[in-house]
Amino acid sequence: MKQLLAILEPIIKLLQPPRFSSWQTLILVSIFLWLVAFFVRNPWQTRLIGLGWILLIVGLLWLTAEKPLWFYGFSLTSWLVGALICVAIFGRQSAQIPPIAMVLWPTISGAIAALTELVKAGPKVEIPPPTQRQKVVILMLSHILISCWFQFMFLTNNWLRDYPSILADNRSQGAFAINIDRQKDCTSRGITILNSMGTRLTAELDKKPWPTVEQWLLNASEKVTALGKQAMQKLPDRKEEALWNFAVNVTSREPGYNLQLLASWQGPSSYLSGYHLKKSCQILPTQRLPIAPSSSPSQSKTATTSVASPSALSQVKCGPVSQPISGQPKST
Amino acid sequence: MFVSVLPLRAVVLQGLFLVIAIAIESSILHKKLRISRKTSAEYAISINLFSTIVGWLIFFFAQSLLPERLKLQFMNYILFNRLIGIDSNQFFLSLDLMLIGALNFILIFAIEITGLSLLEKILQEQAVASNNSLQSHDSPTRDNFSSKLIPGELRKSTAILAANAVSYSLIFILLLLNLWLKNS
Repeated sequence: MKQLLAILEPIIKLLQPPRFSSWQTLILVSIFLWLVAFFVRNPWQTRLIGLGWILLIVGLLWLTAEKPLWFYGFSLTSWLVGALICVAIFGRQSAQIPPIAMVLWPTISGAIAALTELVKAGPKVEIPPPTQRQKVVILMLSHILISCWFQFMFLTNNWLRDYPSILADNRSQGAFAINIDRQKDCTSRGITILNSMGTRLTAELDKKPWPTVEQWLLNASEKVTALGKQAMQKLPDRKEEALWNFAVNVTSREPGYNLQLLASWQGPSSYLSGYHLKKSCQILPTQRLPIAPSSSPSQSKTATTSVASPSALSQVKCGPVSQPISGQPKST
Repeated sequence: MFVSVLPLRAVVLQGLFLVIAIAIESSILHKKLRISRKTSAEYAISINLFSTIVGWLIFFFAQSLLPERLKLQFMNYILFNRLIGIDSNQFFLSLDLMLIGALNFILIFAIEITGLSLLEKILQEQAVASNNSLQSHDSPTRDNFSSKLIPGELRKSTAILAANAVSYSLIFILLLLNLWLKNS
């Protein structure tokens, strides 16, 4: 018990008002009002809480005027009061603080620090003589600049929220931004899209009769583009739609086909001319019934023969999505 | 309010450029306007902060109005320090970039002159030292000559022009070097 009191003693000493009209009284009164508001019902409760806030802020303003702790040209107490004012003005409707509160916070802190320079020794406000003004000017300007930097931070966050694939491009050398949210999904949208396309491809072409497959493959590029667009529609934040191009490379391989699904990114990236992602799928015919090995001539353009008979079913197997490959894909 | 990235590189780069510009401009203002080093440093700080803030405000306003393609160019430059569709060979011949650079320079010059007049109004003092303050120990013939013949306004403007020209050329060269090294 004694140790607790010993720890609390400096705080209690700080809070004791040396005389009647001082900042400590205001803060104590505001705390008192909050305590009273705890026991009272609406509408008095909101009024008391509001009054408590106002008194707290005015008290802290007074404190700032008396003891602005200057730290490399920034007054720490004014930043504290500025934060409280921003929270009081912007944060009371909902639990979340809107970004504008943080953007205006440095400006308001600067204004408070400037005010404390203007109000010297006594509650009357006077414009300081020209010799003092330079300091106030530089103070205000530097605070406003920090506000601009905060706004830029929110702007960048909005950009990256709209185009998540750019965030995935944030390589460690020369990274443009520090990611402070470890849980944020850092993978390029392209990976999700290609995987989804692979699933749809499997759904469309797996265990289907072979002629259907070959029919499908005649229009491979349009079908794949359509698949890509369908996959993108399932995603939120669809501003990236315009920047992804889809293509497919179809090569024949004994006895089926190799499909390379390609998604290429046209937007801002750290690679010089964009990058693309590949997903390889194989479509193989499987014999449904054991029949004599057919020797029917193939109808494919290549010279090799396929041994798929019309009764074969397709089997689709897809591999994982590749790492980003620089440049645009070469189309066959 | 949910922030997941901090664009530190852009902010640190701008801080660096500000410091360079302030250093260069304060020494040029000191030489041209015959004001003390401390005053010229304070003027340079105020003017450069003012023009940077106005630049940011214009940027925020403009980027909300831009069509998507230009916005993507912006993003590409700010985040990755490169411009889509311009490789390092065409880069130096790109007319658009030169135009933007010249426009930028003129705009910043106008903003800084405005800034200086505003500052003078606020501080109620003249940026050009009058004859009796600092020049008494300088060589009498050269300084009195220029300060008497060229009126104050013109001297201020030329001083700011010179200061701007030097500092922005340096910054422009640094940026070009940066782009060229990154792209090649």
